[in-house]
Amino acid sequence: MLRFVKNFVFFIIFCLFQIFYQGNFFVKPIIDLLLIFLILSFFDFPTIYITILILIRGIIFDSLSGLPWGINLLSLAITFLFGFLLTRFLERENFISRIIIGETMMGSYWLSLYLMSLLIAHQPLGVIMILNFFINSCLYSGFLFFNYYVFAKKNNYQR
Amino acid sequence: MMKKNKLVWNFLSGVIIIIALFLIFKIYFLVQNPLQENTIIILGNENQTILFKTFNRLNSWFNDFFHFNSLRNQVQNLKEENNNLLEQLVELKNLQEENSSLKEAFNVKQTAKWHLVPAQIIMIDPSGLTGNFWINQGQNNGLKPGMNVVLANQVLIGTLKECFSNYCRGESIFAPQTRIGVKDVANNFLAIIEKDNQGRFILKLVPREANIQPNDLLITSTENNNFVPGLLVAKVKSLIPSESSLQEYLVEPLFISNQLFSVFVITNSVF
Repeated sequence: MLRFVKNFVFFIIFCLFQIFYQGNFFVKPIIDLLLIFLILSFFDFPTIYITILILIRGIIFDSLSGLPWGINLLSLAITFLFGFLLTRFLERENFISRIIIGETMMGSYWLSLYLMSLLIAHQPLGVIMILNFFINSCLYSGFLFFNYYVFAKKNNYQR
Repeated sequence: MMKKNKLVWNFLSGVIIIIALFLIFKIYFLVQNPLQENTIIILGNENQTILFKTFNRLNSWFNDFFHFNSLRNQVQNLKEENNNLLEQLVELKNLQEENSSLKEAFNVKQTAKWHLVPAQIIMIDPSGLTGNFWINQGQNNGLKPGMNVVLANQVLIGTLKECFSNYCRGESIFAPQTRIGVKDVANNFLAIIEKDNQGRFILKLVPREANIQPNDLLITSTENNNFVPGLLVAKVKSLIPSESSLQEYLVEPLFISNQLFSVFVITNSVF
């Protein structure tokens, strides 16, 4: 129970950080800490709990971003469906699997967001989405490596 | 038999998940307005942003901690500057009086045309993809979509797109596909500012004979459908070399800050 509380508190902190510090007037690549946090949590928490977090993020981003309603939630749903399907074929606890699953999720998120914003909102954000994907995947891998080498024993990673 | 049962069970689970997802999305789209409005109220209410204020304090503290050497130098410089400024203050007082009388004579008519409602920017698009922002005034203060949002020094920020009773969503000039008709203050040439795919602002359709210089100021022209004429938009940065008959310039928007701040809404600017 305590780990859920801790995770949720971290989620709220990242959420507020993203809202008040990451957003700006300039349309430019940003570090999406909340997405990275969600993908990292996805491996260690049950699907229903992750669904609730996805819904909260979807509501906040759909409300504030100004993109047509539902784009953010749909992108997240597609992303985590991909992730869920991949965990059927790959091991959740394996380090390499986590990198593959996480990077695929990251890619599918930015790709689906790009396609939806292009088709529904008619906004050409290609370069920014690619940069976003690149920056966030690097950061995700960084976090995973850090987690792997620092907390390897604690998390019982399969090397 | 066991294998068959497992297959049926997996199939049924899949169907249930799909139905559940469908229902969630259906409800999500049905309750769009209350969800959106409540999210803005929860996150944007000034009394409830204690976390935001804590963040700000922490941010300032860490900033001071990591830059104490430069802060010390700055204090020293400021002291010297303060002395110089005090000397200049006396001279400036006379100039100010002269300036204000001239302003009254020439500019009052221009500024009096606009009815301004002060507002505060409370939130900005967290995804960084749209250049959207939220202000803490809404329909109750007479704000409507289409009104222009400016800084105190008449620098254009953007327009309002959506208004609730106490909040409004605006779109800044940094939004993708922004296109603004502008006029060069120095020599009155008309041109268009467009945002390219790399996020740069380009001044387009400038004839070769236009004598545009770096740092020339550009204001909104009368050709715009969305913007009040005469608002400051950008300054010219450099010429983009090309062989075409029309020149292109790289321009720098005058509104560059990404901090939350006070703005004004021009209420008689609905198009």
